[in-house]
Amino acid sequence: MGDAINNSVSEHPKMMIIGLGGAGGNIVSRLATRFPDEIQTAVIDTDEQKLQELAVDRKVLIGQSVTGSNSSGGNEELGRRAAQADAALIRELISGAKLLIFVTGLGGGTGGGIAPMVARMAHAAQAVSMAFATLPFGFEGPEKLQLAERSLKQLYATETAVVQLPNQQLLDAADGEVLINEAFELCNEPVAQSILSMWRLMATPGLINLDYGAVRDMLQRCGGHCHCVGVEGFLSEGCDVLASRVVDHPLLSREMLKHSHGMMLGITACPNVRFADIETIVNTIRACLPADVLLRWGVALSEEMGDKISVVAVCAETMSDIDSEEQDSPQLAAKPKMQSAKKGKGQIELGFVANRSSGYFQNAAPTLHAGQDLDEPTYLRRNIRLPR
Amino acid sequence: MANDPLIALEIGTAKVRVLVGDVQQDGTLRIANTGECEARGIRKGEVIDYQAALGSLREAIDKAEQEGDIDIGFLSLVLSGGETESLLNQGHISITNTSNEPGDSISEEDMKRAMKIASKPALSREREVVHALKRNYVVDNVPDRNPEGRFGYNLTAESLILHSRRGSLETLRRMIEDDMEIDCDAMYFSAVSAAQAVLTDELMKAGVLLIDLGAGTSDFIVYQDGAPTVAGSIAVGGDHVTHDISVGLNIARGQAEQIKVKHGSAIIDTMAATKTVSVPSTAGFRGTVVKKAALHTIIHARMEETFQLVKARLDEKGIGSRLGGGVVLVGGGACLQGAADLAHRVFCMPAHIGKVNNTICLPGSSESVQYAATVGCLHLAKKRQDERGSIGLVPAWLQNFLRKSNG
Repeated sequence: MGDAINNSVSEHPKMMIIGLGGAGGNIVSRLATRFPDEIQTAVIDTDEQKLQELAVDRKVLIGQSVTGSNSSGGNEELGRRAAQADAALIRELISGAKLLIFVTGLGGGTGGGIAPMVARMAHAAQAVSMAFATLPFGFEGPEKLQLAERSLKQLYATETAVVQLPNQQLLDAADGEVLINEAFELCNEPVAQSILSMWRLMATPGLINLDYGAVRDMLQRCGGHCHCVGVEGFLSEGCDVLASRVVDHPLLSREMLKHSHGMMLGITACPNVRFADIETIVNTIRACLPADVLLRWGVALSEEMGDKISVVAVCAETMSDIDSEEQDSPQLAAKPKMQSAKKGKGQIELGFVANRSSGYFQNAAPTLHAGQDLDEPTYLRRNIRLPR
Repeated sequence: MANDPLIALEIGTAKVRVLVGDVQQDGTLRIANTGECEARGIRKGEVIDYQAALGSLREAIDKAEQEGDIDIGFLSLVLSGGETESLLNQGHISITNTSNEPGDSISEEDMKRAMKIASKPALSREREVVHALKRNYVVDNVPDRNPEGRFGYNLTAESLILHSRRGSLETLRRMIEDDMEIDCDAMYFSAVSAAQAVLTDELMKAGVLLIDLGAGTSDFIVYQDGAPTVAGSIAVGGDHVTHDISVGLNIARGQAEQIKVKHGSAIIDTMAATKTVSVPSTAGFRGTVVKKAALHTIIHARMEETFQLVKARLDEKGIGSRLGGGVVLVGGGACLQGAADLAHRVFCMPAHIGKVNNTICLPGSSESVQYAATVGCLHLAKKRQDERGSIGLVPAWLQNFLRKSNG
């Protein structure tokens, strides 16, 4: 049964981190222990075996009828169908959550396929959502990169704030001696760090406020062409050291910073941080940026930080003006594309997630079995191709 | 004729049917007249538009009354909605003799007492018992079908309880009793009544699975060794097949229904891969041409799934493919070409279409299988009348009075 694997939780959390697909699951599982208890962690995947290995609060196995509890084998269409088949399970998982952070590896079948669907469901459930998407290594080939870019575009179309995390850049920063398993480890760590810092920024009430709205605005205006880094350090290390760790982060480079158009800096620190410390961090980073850059920054104080300080920086490569947003904004630009891509399949499939496609059975109680809505045509749920 | 007419009503998802029957001198049942109309306001056996459903009920009753020139004052109802499920229940009693020492011969009274306990399971408030079907007795851990007179210390009665959602039952009951002012004597689950019409004692002993493929629900019951073992209802039926076709082939519901009946098949005919079916235009919808293979693929997927859902329910109870009598299909879905072949494949048991027994003057003899549940209801009503026995001789007004006081 699809829901046998779920751990039952009596009360829905307000905040949730959800790993989508294999890569997303790995990262969330790695992070799970580092989050406070009130944040629930969950993984949605099509691969039963993989799910069992992960250490997260809730595991949702989807698309048993589509993939037979196996992975989607890199086929994003299968991933998408799996999410359609078990939309009810996913909706149940995210219901009640106020803030959702998705972590997914684009370029794969499940992650790439379901991320846009899940994001749309989150939108429909009126939850604020943000997605961290890792992009494939260069050697994984152009095909995979194309797949990742396609998924990314669909993800932007869902009006979710998206942070891209290119694996290749992280690897480039390391020396050539990295072992294969270390390479993924190496990439996952900064990703984890970014998520954690971003999480802290949004969860802690700000002294100088920088909230989800600001983050999303920043991310959408840069059209996703941005880099997000998070660093954490002790106050005793000195704030200039911390700031230099931000600018020398493998995901950034001083050259890139020089040409950036916008920067968002979120600082979470213990209450006994001095004003001068914050000033040092902001000024050190600003020194690397062009003079006319749009810099937004905020400070949040939290007792839980101890004597630690964490900085998250989002550096935008391009920025669209608020006025020209109508034309340039990525979600609007991407939308027609997505629709045209799906035109051949008819509108039925788009309607699936938002509401029940069938008007005929609308007033009757849905027939649910093992997480499937039996009112939906069987051939669609089972991914049976009709002879045309 | 001494006996009252027997009246059965089925409020189905597709049709509302009234059958009026009487018993011939040789004991066979004769269908005297019928009233039938399209059901409105019913989905998956549940009322979704009360007034529309009431309207179609009134129409069917009027038709039957006019045809037979009778006044319908009471009837038995066939039930298909309400998410009917079954559970096995037991009632234990200890047997004591007149001087209150343990152990004595079992009397009919003891058996009734044990069965009464077995008929009252602990159910949630939303559920209501529709049937408590007698299964067997056990005397001191030894099964005995009829232990009357046998010596024993403990008597256990086993019954199969069929229970449904109280709200669904009450809605129908109120509709008949309050709005139509007709007494609803009894309610029978559709698979139970269909079994009465098409299954023989031999089949029930050999083990048999009966599936009533209705428009809104697929109801089933299993008999093993002559006793019911499991029953249930799945809210998927012919309407879903039609819906799938209309979605998959982009045609109107009416058109989908039409080509389903005319060209549909539960088995994909490989010879028909290139053949096409023309869909005539209906009220505002353009006519079109569709591939026969596509039509069959859609139907096959849905029907296979429906059978698989039933099979899963049987597997849960540990009933494999060991039913000697195989699968018997009744209801509108049984008329679908290839339905029996597909059932054969899914259940790995011989499958055939049910045939109504011991009944004459069936309307539309070729599709009598659609009437199986309603005819079976008449058989059950007849049994009930027989059990009341001598009451049949007293005047009608007193009969009515007695019926009411009997509950």
